[in-house]
Amino acid sequence: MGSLLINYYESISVILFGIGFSILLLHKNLIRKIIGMNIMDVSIFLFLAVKGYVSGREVPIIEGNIFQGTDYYINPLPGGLVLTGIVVSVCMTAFALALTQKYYEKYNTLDLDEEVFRKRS
Amino acid sequence: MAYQQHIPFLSIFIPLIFAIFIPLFKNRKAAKLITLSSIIVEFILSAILITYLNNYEQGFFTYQLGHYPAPWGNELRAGLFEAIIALTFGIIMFLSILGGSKGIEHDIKERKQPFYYLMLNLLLASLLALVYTNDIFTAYVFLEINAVAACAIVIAKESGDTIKATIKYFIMGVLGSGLYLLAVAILYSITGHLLMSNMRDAILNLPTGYEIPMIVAMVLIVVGLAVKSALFPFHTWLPDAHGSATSSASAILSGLVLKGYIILLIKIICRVYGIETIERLNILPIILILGLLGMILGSVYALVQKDLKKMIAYSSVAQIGYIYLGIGLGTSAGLLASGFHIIVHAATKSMLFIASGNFIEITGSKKIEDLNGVAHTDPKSGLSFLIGSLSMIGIPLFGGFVSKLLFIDSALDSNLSIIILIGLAISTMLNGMYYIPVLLRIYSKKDMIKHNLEFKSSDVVKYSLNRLIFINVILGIFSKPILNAILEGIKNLG
Repeated sequence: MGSLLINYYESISVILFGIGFSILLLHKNLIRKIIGMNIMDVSIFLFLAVKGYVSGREVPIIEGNIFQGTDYYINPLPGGLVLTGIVVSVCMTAFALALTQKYYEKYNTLDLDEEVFRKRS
Repeated sequence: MAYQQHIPFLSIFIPLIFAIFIPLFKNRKAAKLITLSSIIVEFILSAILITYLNNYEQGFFTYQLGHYPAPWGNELRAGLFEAIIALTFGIIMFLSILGGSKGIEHDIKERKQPFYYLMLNLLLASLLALVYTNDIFTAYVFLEINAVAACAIVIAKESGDTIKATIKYFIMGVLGSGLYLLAVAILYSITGHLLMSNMRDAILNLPTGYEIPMIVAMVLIVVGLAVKSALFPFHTWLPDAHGSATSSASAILSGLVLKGYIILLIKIICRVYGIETIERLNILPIILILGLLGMILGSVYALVQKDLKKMIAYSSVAQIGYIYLGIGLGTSAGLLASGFHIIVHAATKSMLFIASGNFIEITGSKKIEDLNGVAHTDPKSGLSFLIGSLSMIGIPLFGGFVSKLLFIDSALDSNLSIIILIGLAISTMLNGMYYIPVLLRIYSKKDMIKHNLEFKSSDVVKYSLNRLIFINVILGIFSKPILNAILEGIKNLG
C-alpha cells in the first residue's frame, strides 16, 4: 500500500488505464468506446512520461555547447516514445471514427448491440 | 557486411515503397501487378536469406538501423527461423491473392480495389517487421499498423456483416495492443532498454524483488497478444471477421496475421525473458492450459456451426490452441512443433478458405446444408478441400499429421503428458467429426440443387490451388529438412 502512495503517478496511470480499458470493452456506444480508447492510451503516455522525469534535473538540451554531465539532465527517451505513441493513437482514433461513420450509415445507430443486428436480419 | 544482411530491412521496406505507388495509378490491374511483384521480390529475397543463413556460422545476425550502435539504436535481427517464416508468409500471401482474385473482383467495389491491394502491402510489411524486429517498441508500432491493415481488408467488402465484424475486431485489436504497450512501459522502466537482447542481459542481472512487475508485464504481453491472435477465451471476434470477409482476406487473416503475433510472443519468451526466467515465473502452464482448452472448445464450437466459413474460422481457433500448447510446453521440441504447425496451418487454412470461397460462389449460399455435390461441379476446389481437411484432421501424407506427431512427441516429456495426450486425441476426433460430414456432403450426388452450372474456375485459381496442394503434400512427406532448419533457427532465437 505504501509503495502505491509513493509512486502515485504510476498508480493513477494504471487506474486510468483500467477505466479506459473497461469503457472500451463494456460500453455499447461507439463514441464512448473511442473516448475510452483514448483514455487508455493517454494513461500509458502518463506512465512513460513519469518514468522519464527525474526530480531536480533539467530538460535534455545542451545550451551554448556546455555539456553539464549526465547527472544534470532527465531521460529523453520516454518522451520520444510518448510522441510516437501519440501519433499511433491519433491514427487509430481516426480509423475508429471512420469505422463508426460506416456503421452509422448502415445501421442508423451508434450502439454496438446484438439487438440491432437481429432487427436488421 | 555481406549484401544478404540487408535483406531483412529490404523485405520490410519494399512492400512499403510499392504501397506508395498504388494510389498513383488508381487502376486495379496495376495495383494487383504491383502487389504481386512486391510479394515475389519478398520471397525471392527470403529464399536468398535462407541459403545465406544455412552456411552462416553464427546462425543469426543483427542489422543496425541508423547510426547508433546496440543499446541506443534500433535493430533488426534475422535467424533461420525468421527467414523461413518470412518465406512462408510471402508464398501463402501470393497464392491467397491469386486464389481469391475472383472474390476480390466480385466482393469489392472497383474503385476501392487499389486500396485493398495497398492494405495487403502494408500488411505484409508489418508482418515482416514483427518477424524481424529486435526492438519491442517498434513491434508495438507495427502491431498497430497491422491492426489497421487487417481491419481494412475485412471491411473492404462493405456489407453489414463485415462492418460489424470489423468493429469487433478493431476493438479487440486495440485492447490487445493497449495491454502490450503497458507491458512495454513496465519492462522499459525495469530494464532501461528497448532492444530485446539488451533487455535479456538486464533481466538476468536484476536484483531480487522484481518478480511481481516481471510477472505482471509477461501476463499483460501474453493476454494482449492472445487477444490479437485469438487464443481460446479471447477468440470471440475471430469467427465474425474471418467468416464474413472476402475469401482471400480470410485466407490471409487466418493463415498469416494471427501468426505474426504468435511469432512476436515466441520472440519475447525466448529472447527478452529467456525460457529459464519464464519457467521460474510459472507462466507457461497457463498458456498450456489455455491452449488445451482452445483446441477442444474451438472444435466443439466448429461442430455446431451451420455456416461453412464460420466452421473453418472456429477450426482456426482450435489450431491456434495447438500452437499455444507447443509454446506452453516450453521445450525446444514444443517450439519446433509450434513453428512447424504455424507453417502447416498457414498452407492448409488458406487453401480451405479459397476452396470454400469457390463453393459459395457455385451455390450462392454460405450454408453447409446447401453444399451437396459441389465437388463434382468444381473438382479442383473439391480436391483441395479434401486434402485440407485431411491435413487438419491429421491423416498421414499431409502436413497436419507431421505436426500432430511432433506435438505428441514433445508432450511426452511434460509433467502433464496424460492430459495433453487425451486433449490431442479428443481434439483430433472432434476435427474429424466436423470435417468429414462436409466432405461427404460435397462429394454426394443427392439433391444437387440450384448450382450455378456455368461456373468455371479460372486458370489463376487452379494454379494457386495446385501449388497449395503441392505445398501441403511436400510438408507431409519431405518434412525432414524443414524441421531441421526450424530446429536450427529455434536454437538461435534466444
